[in-house]
Amino acid sequence: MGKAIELSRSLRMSRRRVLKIRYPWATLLLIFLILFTMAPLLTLILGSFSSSTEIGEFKDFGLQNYARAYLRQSTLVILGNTLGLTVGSVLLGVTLAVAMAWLVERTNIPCKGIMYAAIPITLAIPGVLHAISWIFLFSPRMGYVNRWLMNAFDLSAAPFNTYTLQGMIILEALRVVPTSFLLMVPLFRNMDTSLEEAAAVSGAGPFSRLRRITLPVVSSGIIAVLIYETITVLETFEIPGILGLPARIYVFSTKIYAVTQGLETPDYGQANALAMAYILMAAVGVILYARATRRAERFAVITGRGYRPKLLDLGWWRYAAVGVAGLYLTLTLVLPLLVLFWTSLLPYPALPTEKSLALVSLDNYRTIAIYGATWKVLKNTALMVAATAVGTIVLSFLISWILVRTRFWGRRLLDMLAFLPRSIPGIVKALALIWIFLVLRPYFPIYGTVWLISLGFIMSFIAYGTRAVTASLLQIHHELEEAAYISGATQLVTFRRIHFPLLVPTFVGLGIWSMFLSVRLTGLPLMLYEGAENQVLSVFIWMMWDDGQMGAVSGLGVLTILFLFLVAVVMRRMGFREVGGHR
Amino acid sequence: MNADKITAILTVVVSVLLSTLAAGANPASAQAVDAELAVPKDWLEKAKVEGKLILYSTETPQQQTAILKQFYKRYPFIMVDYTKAATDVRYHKLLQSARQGAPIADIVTGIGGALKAYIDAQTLAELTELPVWRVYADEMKYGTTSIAFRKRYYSLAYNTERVSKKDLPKTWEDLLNPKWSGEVAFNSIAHAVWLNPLWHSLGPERTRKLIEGFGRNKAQFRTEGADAAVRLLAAGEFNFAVPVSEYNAHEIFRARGPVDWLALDPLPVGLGNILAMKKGTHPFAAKLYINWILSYEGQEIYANVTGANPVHPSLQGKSFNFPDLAQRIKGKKLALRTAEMEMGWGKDHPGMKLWQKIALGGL
Repeated sequence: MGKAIELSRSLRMSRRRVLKIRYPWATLLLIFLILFTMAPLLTLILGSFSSSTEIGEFKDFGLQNYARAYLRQSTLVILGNTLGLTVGSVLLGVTLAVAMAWLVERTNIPCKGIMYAAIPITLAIPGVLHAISWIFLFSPRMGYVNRWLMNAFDLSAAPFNTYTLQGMIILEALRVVPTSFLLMVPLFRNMDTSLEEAAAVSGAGPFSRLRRITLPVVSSGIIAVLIYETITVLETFEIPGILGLPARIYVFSTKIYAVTQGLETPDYGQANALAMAYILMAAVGVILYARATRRAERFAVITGRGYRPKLLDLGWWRYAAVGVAGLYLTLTLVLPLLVLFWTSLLPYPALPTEKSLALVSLDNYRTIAIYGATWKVLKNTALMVAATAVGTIVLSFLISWILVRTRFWGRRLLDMLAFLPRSIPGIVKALALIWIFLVLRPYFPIYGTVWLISLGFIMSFIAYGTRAVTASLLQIHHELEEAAYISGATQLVTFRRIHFPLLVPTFVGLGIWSMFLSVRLTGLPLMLYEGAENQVLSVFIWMMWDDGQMGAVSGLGVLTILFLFLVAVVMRRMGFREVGGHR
Repeated sequence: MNADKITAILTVVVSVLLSTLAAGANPASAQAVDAELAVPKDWLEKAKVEGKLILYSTETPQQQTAILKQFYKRYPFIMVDYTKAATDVRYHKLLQSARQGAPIADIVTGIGGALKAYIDAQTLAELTELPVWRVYADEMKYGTTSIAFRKRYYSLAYNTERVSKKDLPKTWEDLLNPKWSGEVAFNSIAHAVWLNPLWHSLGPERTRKLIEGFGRNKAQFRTEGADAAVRLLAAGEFNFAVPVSEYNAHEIFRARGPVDWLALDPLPVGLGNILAMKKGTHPFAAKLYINWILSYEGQEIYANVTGANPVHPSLQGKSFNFPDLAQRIKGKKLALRTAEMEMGWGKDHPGMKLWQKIALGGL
């Protein structure tokens, strides 16, 4: 009895000690996060009312920027394009992903192993390269597929046009699939199947069960995925940038980019005003997503271990289903890689003919090797990726720790602040960062470096990082650390010996996820690009494309995709743990 | 600037060209080259201490590597950190940093319409001390801080597999023929390097009709630059690319691509400028580089490597891309884009407003 009282007192003391020590840190972190998240937002808001054309200067406040941005018909067109692209690609992509997740989890479709492996691997293709490869394939004039079809069937006009809103929607939808698939697979795998079985016993057919039982059961998960993808597509830049700009089809992200890239003074005021509508749309999505996922993630439990529901026999339909999955993989993986490889062997894009075969050489790969900037770009990219991954992990861990392991008064605020930057799309965030860090340059000289790009990415990534680490921390029971404290272990030792080993898979997953994402995204680093010192791979590819180095950019694309495939395969073999998923 | 003044400038430019043509292919003598490169000794000493130079320009890194190979032979103690800088970086980001007193580069080239902003912000270094400064005619300079270092003819390139020689346009208006509907593609620099000089050469009315005609004839107004446009042209994305420099087209022509270049009348001409930043961290290395690239030696190497036309008086009349370039441009009225024209070409200029309306659909 005496021992029990002593133990209880010791536990109380150790908890008190933990709380006492952590509160000052938590307060500091809260202050840091307030600055970290609110400063860009305030800058954008102030900038949207300022008439100054100088960055970092606020004067003559008024509504002139809003008038310039919104009192013109073209803004309505841009709004329509943005909504069209977002709604169209999310609905199409998520539907396809739900169908494929259901097929691999709940039916007897063949080739499941290939689908499990190949669909997530399509995540490794950067958006810029996807868009470029689609120009080579589906451009109405030079597109290889169009020209082949026109020659083969004697068509007078090209059947496909990738430079349209519809073309952008289809490609963006295909890019929505892998993340949505990864998010949907666990839902189908872990759902309680007793209702389906009861329906089957009652005589309901397979498709009736799918429609009346399965889909309603996973509907809340599907809604979360829909909201998540909506936020993601809303800020997408790569596809509308490569496919939309040549056809003058603007969405908010490309319009903001365009008004800051003019040959005259960049119109940052108008860009800020445009950003407000953008932020508003994204903020609604983020709030809805946070609500939809908060409870689910906190109380996620692994169920059905070792349980295998009876698989639905699709009969002959299973071959049609494989055909759809095969078409998806052909369009997103096989054809892009093939067309980039072929183009990388030529001095200019050309259909495979006798004449073009004579032009085949490895010159473009030689160009990449001797292209002065290549090695610096790779070094910059490696630094940026590493800093982003480490920053995201550390910050996510600290926030999650305070949320889960302390009773700090500002926990809810901290949670909200971690999510807030997600509502600022990358290109808009870059706008704010330019503004802030140009002013701070004399005191804090990270403008024009890769560190600022990392900072921008970390701001975006901690929303999901915090969710992932919080979920993992919740699964580590207090008893473990209490036992360590009773045994005399210090906080640091407890973290090193108890928490760290248990959190390693989550940290690794979060790191890989950050890495893929920071290599794939172009909008933020492109806006922050200032020269050789902060040029990263995605910007390099963008610039080479714009420069007309089509063969070299294709070669670089092939090498990048193969490298990222390799990383993905190695990680998969090492048991890479999914953390929320992201495109 | 009025038409008379433009005509006067053109007359001077053409006479300089003709006089150098008359001089024939006589290369500058070794003594003359040495004289151009004879810089004060303390410049060399100070440049040695600096040891570095940050250069923002538009050549590909391979081209710049080849150019620098020769530069290093002269000045092995200067290490050039080269960036092929995007327009936004050259026009705006360097200017922002210069305004803050810490420019991110020592030298920048091709800033066109941003020149006024650089001058107004007093960010540019004086170049009049350069030995080579006096070699150039006033028309090649703007004030005391900007000087031309290359010349480009901006006309059109066409796909030889899709357009036969007999169908080639003779005037810009010929491109408005309905059979070329949707087949003419303008690139992202068209309004700056093509429309601007045409506006001044053809006059507002004729240019307005021309541009509105292109709008009606469904011309493509694309966002790629001229380099990308000429490759897309080779791939069959459109039949005509406007504006394309002769050296740009020659690159694909040489690679046996289905592309050729045609000079139409009037022929827009652009002079690319080179400038040093006043508060650059390597001012003496910058002086040495600019002086060298403007010298006969630097100009010849630059032209040989890039194919772009040099501006050095002793190199006029020599072709560095199409061997028959002189023949191609013979008899064409040159529409030179001057620094004044560049600086007056803002968003409030009627020409830009027209472009905004037709090409960008009011965006």
